[in-house]
Amino acid sequence: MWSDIAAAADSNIDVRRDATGEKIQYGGNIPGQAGGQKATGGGGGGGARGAAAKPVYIGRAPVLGLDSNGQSCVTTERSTFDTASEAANFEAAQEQRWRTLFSQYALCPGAELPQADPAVLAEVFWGEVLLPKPVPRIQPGWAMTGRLAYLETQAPMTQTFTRDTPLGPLTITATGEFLVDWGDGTRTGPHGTAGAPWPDGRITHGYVTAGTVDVVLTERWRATWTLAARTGTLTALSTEGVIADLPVREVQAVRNR
Amino acid sequence: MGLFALAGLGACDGNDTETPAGATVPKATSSTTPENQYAVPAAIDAAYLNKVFAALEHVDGDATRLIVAGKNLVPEAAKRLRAIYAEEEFNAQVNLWLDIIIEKRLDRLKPSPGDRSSVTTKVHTAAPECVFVAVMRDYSPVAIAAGPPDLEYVTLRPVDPQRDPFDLNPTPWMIEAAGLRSDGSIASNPCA
Repeated sequence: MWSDIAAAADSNIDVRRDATGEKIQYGGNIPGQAGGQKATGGGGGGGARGAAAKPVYIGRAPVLGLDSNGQSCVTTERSTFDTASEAANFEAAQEQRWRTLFSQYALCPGAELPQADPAVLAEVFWGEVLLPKPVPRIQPGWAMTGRLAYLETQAPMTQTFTRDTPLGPLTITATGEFLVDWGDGTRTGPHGTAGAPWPDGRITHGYVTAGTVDVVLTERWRATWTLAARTGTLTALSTEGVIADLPVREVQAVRNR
Repeated sequence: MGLFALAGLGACDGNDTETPAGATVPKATSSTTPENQYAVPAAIDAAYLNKVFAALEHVDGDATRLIVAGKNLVPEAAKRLRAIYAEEEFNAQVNLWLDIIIEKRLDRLKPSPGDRSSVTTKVHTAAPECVFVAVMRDYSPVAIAAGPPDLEYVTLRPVDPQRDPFDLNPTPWMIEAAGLRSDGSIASNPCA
């Protein structure tokens, strides 16, 4: 297995073993990332430096730094590459590392972000937003066999979240759809409209058997993000609400004469 | 944080000698006391180094237990890794852990991992400013399907106090590099 683990300083050790005992091999004696060489500073991005200079392309990788309180935070280590595609491939390979670290650590003050990937910022923000939970209801608090039960979803179906980032304003637009487990073995959905009470509701179900059921309403959220003239989709998330122990009654007509 | 994660974390019984801030060479002393069992002896031998390795591996083990419990490279784990690894090796360890987490290989670790062991087999250089040794490293307390103990080379340097503001490393040493040569040859000695 090849990796871009840093080579050991002042040593020709070229294999490390991770906690699982697996041997991780890394390239040669360059004290930086495989295929690249650590940059010592300079401007971001690639391009020629001077007419006779060889073009230098920058790839950024996350590393854990320290803030002034001694707490770990995410900062950037630059590596230089000979071609733009090498640098781009390197940055693409870092995406999961950025995401994993951002799930635990803040960005160090003044640290550089991975310019190539606003998707990372969007995914981080998406993991932090509070999505509304549906509060399902069936009036009048019970259902009747042979008659439709109208499920009210009582939850918004669109939400917009915004946050300022160093790359500009990040906007996430989330859209929900509903899935219903009626508790008697019937599942319906996805429903693209909100559930409402009789007579306008469109999320309905006719119970056949009397008893007690748990009705589970799941709102599945899909989201898109916009940042720095780029857009993308995000991992689907779900929220859930439950009507516990809903009575399903059977009503019989009684003829008096 | 699981109780087990921090169970057995020793008090900071390490460097009681008055080391000026920023000093890079630990003071050699002619004797050790229970309160300062990791103080650098006049003659650094395998027995002393094994004691140091046990302490360092315990800190590393605490980090492992925190990561396994949190299923992520949680900040408390990073503190411990930073306390025992020099910068380059720390970054490498962080990347090793990130890859385990991203590739969903945490299930290859024991649910309650112990401490990896490193036992000195040959001392190449043992000086107060640099130690380079061969060790037999055993991952079986940590990994479910670990192979038999295997040879690795470890370089120790005097600890940088700024890397351990929480006094998590009881020894005056940090690991500058640990690993092996892919072709099986003896690693070059960075202390030479």
